Amino acid sequence: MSRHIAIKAEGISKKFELKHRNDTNGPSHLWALNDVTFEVVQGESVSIIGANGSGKSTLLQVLSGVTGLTSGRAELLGKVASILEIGAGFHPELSGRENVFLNGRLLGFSTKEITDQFDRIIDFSGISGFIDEPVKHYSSGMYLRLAFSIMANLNADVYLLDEVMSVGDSAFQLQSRRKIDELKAGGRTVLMVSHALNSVAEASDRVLYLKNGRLMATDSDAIQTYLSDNSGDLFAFAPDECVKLRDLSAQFGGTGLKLMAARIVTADDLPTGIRPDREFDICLELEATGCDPLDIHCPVMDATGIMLFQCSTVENETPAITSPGHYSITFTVPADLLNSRMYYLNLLVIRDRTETILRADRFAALRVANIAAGRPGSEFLSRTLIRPNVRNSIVKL
Amino acid sequence: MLRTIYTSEPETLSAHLSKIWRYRALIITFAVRDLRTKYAQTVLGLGWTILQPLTALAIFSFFFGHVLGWRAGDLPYSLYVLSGLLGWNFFAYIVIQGSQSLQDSGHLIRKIYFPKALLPLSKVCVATVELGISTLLLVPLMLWHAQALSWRVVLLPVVVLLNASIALFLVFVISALAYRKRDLFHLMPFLMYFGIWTAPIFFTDDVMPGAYRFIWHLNPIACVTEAWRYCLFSDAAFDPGFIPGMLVCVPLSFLGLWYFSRNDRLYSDFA
Repeated sequence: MSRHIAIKAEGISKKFELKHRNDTNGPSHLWALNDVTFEVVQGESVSIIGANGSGKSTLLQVLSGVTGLTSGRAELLGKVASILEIGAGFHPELSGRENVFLNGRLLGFSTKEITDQFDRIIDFSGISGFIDEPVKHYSSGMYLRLAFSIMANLNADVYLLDEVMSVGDSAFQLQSRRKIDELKAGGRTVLMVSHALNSVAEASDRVLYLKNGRLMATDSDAIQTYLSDNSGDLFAFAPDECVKLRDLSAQFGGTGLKLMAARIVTADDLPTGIRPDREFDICLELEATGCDPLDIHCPVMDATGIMLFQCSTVENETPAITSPGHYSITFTVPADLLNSRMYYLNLLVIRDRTETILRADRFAALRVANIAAGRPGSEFLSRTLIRPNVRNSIVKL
Repeated sequence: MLRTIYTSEPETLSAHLSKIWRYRALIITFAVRDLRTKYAQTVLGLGWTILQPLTALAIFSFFFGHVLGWRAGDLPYSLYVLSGLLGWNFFAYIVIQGSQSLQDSGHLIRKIYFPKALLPLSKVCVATVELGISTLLLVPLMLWHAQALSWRVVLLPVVVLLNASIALFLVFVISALAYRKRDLFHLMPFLMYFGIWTAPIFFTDDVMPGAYRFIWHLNPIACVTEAWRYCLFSDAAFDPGFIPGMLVCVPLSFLGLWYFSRNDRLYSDFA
């Protein structure tokens, strides 16, 4: 099946003049978008990621015609519905019913198109009992559901969505996710901005990564590129570095502990990271001065802060440190657990198994290599946060 | 299949006009929204539309007509003032509301695209509804003064169109000039206070010294005010000197729209 190109952006640039930068050293303008070129084919779902201020929303504004472009050209095929803010264009004094029509017309739909879909919109929103109440009396959840329902149930060819997935409770998010999948299955094109990186990876066919108005990556590695770009200078890895540790010794004052050394011992590192199929050790050398019962607790997180597992002496029956002296604590992380991405370690010192007396966020960063890189299908295997060795057996019957 | 293309070039006036046509349903939608929300949670509702000109009429007729003893030729003074105020209020409403409409709908135009000219155009609809209601004030007043209605009243829609055109011209130019620097908006109340004296609303044409009268005749809003009375009252005379001022109204509004639409996609950056 030959597919048409639904969105074609050719060298889109958008310049904003800055008001308060009249001095000679500051720039007088800002390129919110700088020579952005990409294509989205019909039926594809593409997410735009990037830090705040990277131009994601500006890109959607340009594609929806809300703002003009400074140079370049954009072409969209088919009817476009853009939701840059859920509920934009709702009028609080008007009833839900009136707002359906107001919003639908604002999205460029005719009265007939809205009337035809009206019942579906109301059903999907689940607020039929309140449809004739002014929306100012709606709870924010009702407001949200109605707004999303209008957008999702009117038939456009291209949907431009800004942060639609990240609002609302988890039930709403799930419902909107399903609806977007449904739209996609129906051959609609979806281009959306999202910060929920974990759902982005699963929900999109492709990811565009914007940084300072420039398109940095358009492939499946875009998320990892984005995450390693945003880990801060502290964890800016040189090309052949795999492990980084922050010097924490200064933070240990007042804990009754002294951090003598901390290291991560790995085996057979690849140039792109440590091998996930080898176990590795996290070693801490500590000197205790008091008699407090202390434990060391290291949660391991992905770049978005989701805690995946922990290396902890709280697992033991008795606290790790109970009397003055030198201690060496080693955590051995098993092989076949990590996936090819960045991981971060926090370090907590816990007294009496109840009280956190020290917390060091992101004291270590690990880069894990993709040992399946280049193999067909490796894209599927690198999506999850962890990758334990799950065996499978195939029997042809 | 529909194909949308964006470039950095401004649209031509004809392309923009066809786009306004495509979005025309929104004009009414905005107007209805304005009317519904303006009178939401009021007891009198649209009754307020009649109370405002009624109060103005009472005050002006009392001070100018009764206290100061101003006269308006053969017409009763209160009728003269009301017929002048109807057109002026219509004009002033469109100019003030229209030039504020981009700012007032800032939240909307930053998130949703539509031709921005729809906003002032919807204000024209609102103003027309309110004009229609306040025009009803004429009925008891004309009966009271036994003033005959002219057959020329059928031309009134044309005069209202001219009245709206000249107001839209100002709205388009002011909006296009003031979207970055908003100083002009602060000038608007003054413009409206002084502007009312540039048209024959409270006094008649002949009080103006002859030397200035040609400037007066070039003022489109003065021309439109005269045209209002000419359409309403059989006794009203019409000075052909006003015709050029009336002819420019519609072309001016298109010129204004052209100038305004060149920035159509920039307003959202500053709203």
